[in-house]
Amino acid sequence: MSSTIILRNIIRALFFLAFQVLVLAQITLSKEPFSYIFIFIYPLFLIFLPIKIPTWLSMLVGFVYGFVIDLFLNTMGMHTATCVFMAFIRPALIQFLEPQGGYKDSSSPTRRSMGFIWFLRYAAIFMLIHIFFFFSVEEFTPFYWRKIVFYTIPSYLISMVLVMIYSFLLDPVE
Amino acid sequence: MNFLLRYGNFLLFLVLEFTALYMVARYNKKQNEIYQSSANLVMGFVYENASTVRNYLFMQAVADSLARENAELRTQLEASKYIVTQERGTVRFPLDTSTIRPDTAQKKDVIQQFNYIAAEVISNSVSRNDNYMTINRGSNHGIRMGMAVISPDGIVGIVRNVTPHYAQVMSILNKRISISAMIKRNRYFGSLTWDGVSPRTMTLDYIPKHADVVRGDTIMTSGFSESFPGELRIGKVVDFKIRNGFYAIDVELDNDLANIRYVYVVENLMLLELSQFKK
Repeated sequence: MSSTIILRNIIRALFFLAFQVLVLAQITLSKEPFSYIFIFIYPLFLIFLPIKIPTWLSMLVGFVYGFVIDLFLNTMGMHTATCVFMAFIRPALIQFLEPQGGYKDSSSPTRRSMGFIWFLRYAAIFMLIHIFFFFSVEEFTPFYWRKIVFYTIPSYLISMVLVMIYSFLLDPVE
Repeated sequence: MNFLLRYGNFLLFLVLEFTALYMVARYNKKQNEIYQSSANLVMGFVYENASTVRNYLFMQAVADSLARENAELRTQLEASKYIVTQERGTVRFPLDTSTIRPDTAQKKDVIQQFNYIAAEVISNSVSRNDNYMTINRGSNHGIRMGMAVISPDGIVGIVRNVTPHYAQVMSILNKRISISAMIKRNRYFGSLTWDGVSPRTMTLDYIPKHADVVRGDTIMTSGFSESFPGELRIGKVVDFKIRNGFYAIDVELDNDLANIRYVYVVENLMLLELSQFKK
């Protein structure tokens, strides 16, 4: 892994962190049916981690990343737990979506490198699991699964729109 | 090392995930409350089920101790005592029962007449003509030949053979048995035998023809035999007919000997004295 890739990912982490904490977290949709929409952009950092990154490393990175977000959003442990979980299952998801001919070494799974359809499926599945897991941790009990689903769907749709906008406007090379 | 390579990622995931979830439960008010209450819920569930299992495991011991306690309580019953106090007093006619029946609970001097030994039936039969059962108490526990055996709902039989740890009981469902029994309402007594047909029915013979018998009358022990204490409920009259100048009464037993488990062996402490007359 070259230092360029490491540097690029660190910058990306800081960018999403700032965007999430300084911009999106300030948007509050207070009108009744939308009162609990939380727009997720920060998972894009985990989505864009290099494909061949060792799982232990991505989990540690995810732990620190989620922890910093938790510190800012005052949600101790919730985003941390979600990021660690996503880092843990990411290799399985990538393997599941593996195209014919396999992946190129060290490349990041971006729209440009993998194609729009592939990236859409990958990001859609990733974001859905991420958001569902987050609300599950947030509710902290399976008794409220209806509530979890009710929160997940609108947040998921809006977040996905944002993810797609981002991947077209600021599409990273790798 | 191999293990770490294979499961290292998963172990690291567990460590990080549980650290994160610990933080969630520790530092967030809402999640902490949920954690506390579900921990209580889970622990309550575990404790409750553990106690069910424990109760089940100790059921045998509990039943044994209850049977022992019952035997002790029976021993303390008034019916198990011999009344020492002599009733003296002027008996006036018409008979005033209050003068000859003072308050029994307080004034009578009594000595023990019957002891009860709890035992468990370990083998049993009801289908033969001559039925026997085996109980798990024997001469080591004070059981002697000829002692009566009863159950909470009725009578069971008479001890025939005794070994140090076991005793063989001749069941009342035995053609050779004959027990002195009476009708509770009018105290006419007769002899209770078994005809070998139904394990729930016995026959009470030799009740004189002039006695009045109705269906549903309670039959109890007479207390005239050396073994059985008096006034133990046996069963009730279901049918009767005249045979050889006496009533032959069909008695339905209260207890079912086909599923009996705990019995009490009755020790009559006055037996030696009573048997003097038989010589």
